[in-house]
Amino acid sequence: MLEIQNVVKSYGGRRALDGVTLTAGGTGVLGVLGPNGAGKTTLMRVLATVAAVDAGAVRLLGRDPRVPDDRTGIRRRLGYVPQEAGFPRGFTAFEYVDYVAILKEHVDRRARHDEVRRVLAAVELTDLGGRKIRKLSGGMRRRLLIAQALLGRPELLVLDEPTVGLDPEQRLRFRDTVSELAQRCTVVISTHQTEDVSALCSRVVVLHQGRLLADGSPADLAGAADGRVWTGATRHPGARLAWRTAEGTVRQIGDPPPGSVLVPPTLEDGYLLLIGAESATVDGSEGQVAA
Amino acid sequence: MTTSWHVHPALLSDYACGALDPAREASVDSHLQRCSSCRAAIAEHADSELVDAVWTDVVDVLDRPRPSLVERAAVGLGLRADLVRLAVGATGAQLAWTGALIAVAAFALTAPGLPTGLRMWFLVAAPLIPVTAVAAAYGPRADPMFDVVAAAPFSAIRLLLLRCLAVLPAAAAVNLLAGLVLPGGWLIGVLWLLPAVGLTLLTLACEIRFGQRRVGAVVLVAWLAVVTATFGTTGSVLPVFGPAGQLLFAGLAFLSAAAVARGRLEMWGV
Repeated sequence: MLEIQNVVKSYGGRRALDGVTLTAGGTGVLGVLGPNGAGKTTLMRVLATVAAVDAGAVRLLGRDPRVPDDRTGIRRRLGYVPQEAGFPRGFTAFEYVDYVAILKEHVDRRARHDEVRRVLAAVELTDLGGRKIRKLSGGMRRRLLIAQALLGRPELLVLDEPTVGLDPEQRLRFRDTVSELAQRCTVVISTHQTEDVSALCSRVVVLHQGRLLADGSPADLAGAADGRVWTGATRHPGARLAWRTAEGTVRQIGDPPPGSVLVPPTLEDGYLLLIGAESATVDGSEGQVAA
Repeated sequence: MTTSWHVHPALLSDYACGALDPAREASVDSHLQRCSSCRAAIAEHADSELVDAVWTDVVDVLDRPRPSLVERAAVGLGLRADLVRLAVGATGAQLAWTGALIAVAAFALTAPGLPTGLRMWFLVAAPLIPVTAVAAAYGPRADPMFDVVAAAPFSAIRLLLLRCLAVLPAAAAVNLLAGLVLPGGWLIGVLWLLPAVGLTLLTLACEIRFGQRRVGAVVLVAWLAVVTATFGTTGSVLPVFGPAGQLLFAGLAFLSAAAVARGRLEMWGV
């Protein structure tokens, strides 16, 4: 379904992707986790055929996006939600999705409108099709972006930070929608929120400073912090990362001192340990983390 | 509202099937408008597929995009409605289109007040307006939907050309009008046309390979260099627009058009 090998992509003098190798296929959700500036959006743009790589090999849906015919073929079977996208001024929700449907080669007007209604229904925007986009909330606009990505029942769905701006209830609905879609296609979702990965992904890769740091199941990533998470009343000098929890105890990640009260690690612990090991800096004040 | 009498179920069934004569149909029709009970009862007799189809038709009419005046005019001329929507429906194209018209209109208003020597510079500025409009019509900054558009199978160069086609006639028409109303007669209004077509097609031909902003900037600088050099040596910009210049720009337009066509064919895998 998707194969990228030793991919390099630079902007100016900065390497956004630095030798990334990744393969995925079949159904299910692949999560791309990483802090801001890790290269997630660049990777998503490469997978969406919007950005070309400087070096390395990319194959999507069995085709090479460098070849114009192949690229068009990939785009016919691809859905993409960019991290940031504007909307044409004055368009209604229906008009916007209809416009994208034309770009996706839905020529027959009646069939196209049926398809637009189908995807608007999938994100529960049926009743708002006639409303101007400028009058929609941020969450509704996000759902509208997801709707356009569903046009034509794509085989590969690339979602770049799709849950930004969604409230908790919308996020739950979104996860439900994506889980259902993932039964029929490959979904790649980038996020910096470990809750999304825990809830949705069967596999997760961690990207940091353009490099792939980890690749496995969410349980594998959590397991990386096994025996390295403990709680205490104060921050221990040996802790790499520490923060005070709502219960008033200090949750700490690193090399535990003898006699520590170890706690089961979460995905977030594993992720923070991995990222922290690379570059996190701990604030001098007790219990504060800046990752 | 419900009346004191109701339509017999058999009669309602015949009405739903369209089996009544016109007089009785009109009578039932009239009753149904006043009686909610019979309206509810007729639902059992209605063909659900037909009702769904009618409802979908109604929803389609309500949801259907409302084309602008420009779109309706273009479709009226026989152009495909979906392609017209792509050409003029999006913000990027509208901005370029409107920007080109405003620039020319502003020029038309200010140029008559300028000294005769400066009016000649109208000829220098006029061919650049369509080129600028073309360069601004497509790109991540001009089009808020750029990433979504770029990931769609519709060819980017085809979209660019569609948008150029939408910008060019309007810019050319307003430019021509501005030229005609300026003191100096009709000649000043038409001399710029071939250079404009040549420079625009050259921009289109080169931006396939090098990107529209870079090419737009290079064409702009090259054009200004040519007219400045001509002015420096002859004291006028008119030689650029003379017979030799017109012939040169006609050739440039022809070659660029061929390159554009070749680029399009390659993009379509022909």
